[in-house]
Amino acid sequence: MESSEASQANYATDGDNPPKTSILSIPNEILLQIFEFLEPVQLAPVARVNRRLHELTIPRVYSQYIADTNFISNLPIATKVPKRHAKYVKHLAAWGQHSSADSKFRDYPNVTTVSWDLGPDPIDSTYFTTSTFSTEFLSAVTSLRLELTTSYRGVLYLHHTRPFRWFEDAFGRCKNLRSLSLHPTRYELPPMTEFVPFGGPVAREHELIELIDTLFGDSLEELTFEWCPPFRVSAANFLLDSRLNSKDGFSALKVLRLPFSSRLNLSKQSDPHSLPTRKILYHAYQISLIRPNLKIRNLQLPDDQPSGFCPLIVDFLGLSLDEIVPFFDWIVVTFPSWNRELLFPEPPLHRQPMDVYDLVDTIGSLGIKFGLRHYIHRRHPLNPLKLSFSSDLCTISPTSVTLEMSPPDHIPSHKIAYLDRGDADVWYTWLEANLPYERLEELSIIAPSTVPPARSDEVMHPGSALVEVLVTAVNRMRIKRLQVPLRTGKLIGLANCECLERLEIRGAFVRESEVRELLIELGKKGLREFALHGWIEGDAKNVNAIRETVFEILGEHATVKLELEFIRSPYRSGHDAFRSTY
Amino acid sequence: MAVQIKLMSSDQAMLVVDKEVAERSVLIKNMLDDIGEVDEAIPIPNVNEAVLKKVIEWCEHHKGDSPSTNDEESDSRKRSTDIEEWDQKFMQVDQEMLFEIILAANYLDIKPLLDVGCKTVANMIKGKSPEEIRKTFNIQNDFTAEEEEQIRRENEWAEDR
Repeated sequence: MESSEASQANYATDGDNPPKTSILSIPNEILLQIFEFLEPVQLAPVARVNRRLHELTIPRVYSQYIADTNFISNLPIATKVPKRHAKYVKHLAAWGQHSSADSKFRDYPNVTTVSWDLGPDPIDSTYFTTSTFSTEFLSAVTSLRLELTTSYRGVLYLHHTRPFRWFEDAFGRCKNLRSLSLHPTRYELPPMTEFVPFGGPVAREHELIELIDTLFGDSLEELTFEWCPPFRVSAANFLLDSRLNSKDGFSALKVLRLPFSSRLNLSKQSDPHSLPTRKILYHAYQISLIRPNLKIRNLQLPDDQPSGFCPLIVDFLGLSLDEIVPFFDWIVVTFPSWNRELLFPEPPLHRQPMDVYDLVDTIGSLGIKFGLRHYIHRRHPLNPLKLSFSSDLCTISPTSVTLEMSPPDHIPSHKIAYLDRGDADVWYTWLEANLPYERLEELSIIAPSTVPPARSDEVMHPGSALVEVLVTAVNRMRIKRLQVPLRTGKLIGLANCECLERLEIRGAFVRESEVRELLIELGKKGLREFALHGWIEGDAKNVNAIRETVFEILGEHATVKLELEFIRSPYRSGHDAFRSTY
Repeated sequence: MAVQIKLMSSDQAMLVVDKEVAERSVLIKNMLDDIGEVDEAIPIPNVNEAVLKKVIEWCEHHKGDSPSTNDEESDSRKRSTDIEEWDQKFMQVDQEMLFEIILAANYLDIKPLLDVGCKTVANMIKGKSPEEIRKTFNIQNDFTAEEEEQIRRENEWAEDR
């Protein structure tokens, strides 16, 4: 990432030959855009450079002001405002009662935004109040960001009929409030059991939300719940379930920001305070249907950075296909920071088969629509970009597909997870719809010496099923490089490949007559490299026959590259392996 | 094959570019939406060939970027002056070219490129004293001594932090 130090060396100017286009030839509107990236403290030196930059920067230098000059703060905003610049102050940052004297604020007639750290606990002797403020001042406030700190926790302990009366007293006169952000910065969540005698945090939060709706619901356009453990549990849910479902609730609201959890952080999945994402997500989507003018946005949680797109596949079950598409669309818009190139649906455990088939098919189509490139049936623990069919791995990129099948010697047959026919058909369908056939240039199927039979009456070996799909489809691809473990009798199936430049056959038992027939066809179409590896039950005579055939057919092409590697089967004891490479 | 269009720079150089790439510019996109397919070169009168080539290079690299919504864009802008590594290298040009790119991005309405340019300049300003800023950008001090002293006193709070 850029640092100011790192960037400085590259832009030195020659003082004697100033450039024709310089910072001073930039119009004011663009200079102001540059200054938007600088905090007031960083901008203050610019105000001292020359008159023009002074005039441009001063309103921004003093637009934000910390009211309490005694407060030691690292906030990069102004701590002193010259009287002549007081009119520029729009945003006031205040701490508790200490700085909330009316006389102090009277000097800043244009304040519309207040960030208030409410400071001390409101139930003690320094009860928070704005009673000394003029109604005119409070009425001018359109944006309020409240850091509730311990004051909020204090009221949760009170067994009081109106625990948030202080809130109403302090801010009820903000009659023109358009934006409210609640941010319990230094709030510590007590054990859940502590809340029980008082109705629990849910009840308290509901009361606060109802109060906010009562006070500001007719005018409030933006409502933000920032990082806040108790709100994570319930407030968002309550908002969606109750207040926003009602026509009267928050009638003017246009933007709602909530801390959705992606649930991707494994350490947080067992967190009892973690937002119940699946439920909230769908509720939020339903609200968006009822209130088309309301934008629901996700707040990025500091310890829950999503790195993938993770709707559970079961979340979609029960919805009709017509419902899934707009829901998916809404998720993508609402969570723009989520990585849309990956889709990680977990395999459904309890489902009606036909629902799943339709679902996979639909998600496949959506995947194309939204640019998803990888469908991970089961995530490989070490490489999430690999599609795992039981013990076999498939890596898909826009131009190549590689399937690595596990050697059967290493996987006891009883541990191979055979797919039932229904599941296999799902993967067939998905692969047919989603493999990048048009753009695919390279297909590699890396298999052990023998590929298990793909199908029986009831079950299908998943890797073999995939091989079957790929090889069946290979003739309609425009593949240039192909590596396959084809068995004897299957080679001629590749004869119609129109663009093949390199063919590599591994783990195969082939006959010379088949190779001849295939190479005659492919040689005409431009095959330039041919490699044959693997176990072969034949003998040196067969090897020589194949070699002679390959050279006879392809040898006239100057660019032919031939690699033959024949190794006797290790199962035939008493025979030495041998290799021939040409 | 991708649809291509022609652009004519202010110094009469014609550049052929994929339509998808050119449409990173909202100005060009709107123009193409209005007039449909054109065989003739689209004039870009405010941008010379060298700058236009740089702008196209940026657009080609970022052609796959998804457009962000306004509020996200605004949030992202406020967040930081971080610049992606490729963009940092792209912006390692002399000051004249840097400001020409900024002007071109503004004229062609390529907001993300304009942001990268503005962030680059902002990073050049960060941490510098007024005198260092003057030297970096070759700016003359036109304050009187009294004015300068008054402004210095007013801005003292910023020097301590």
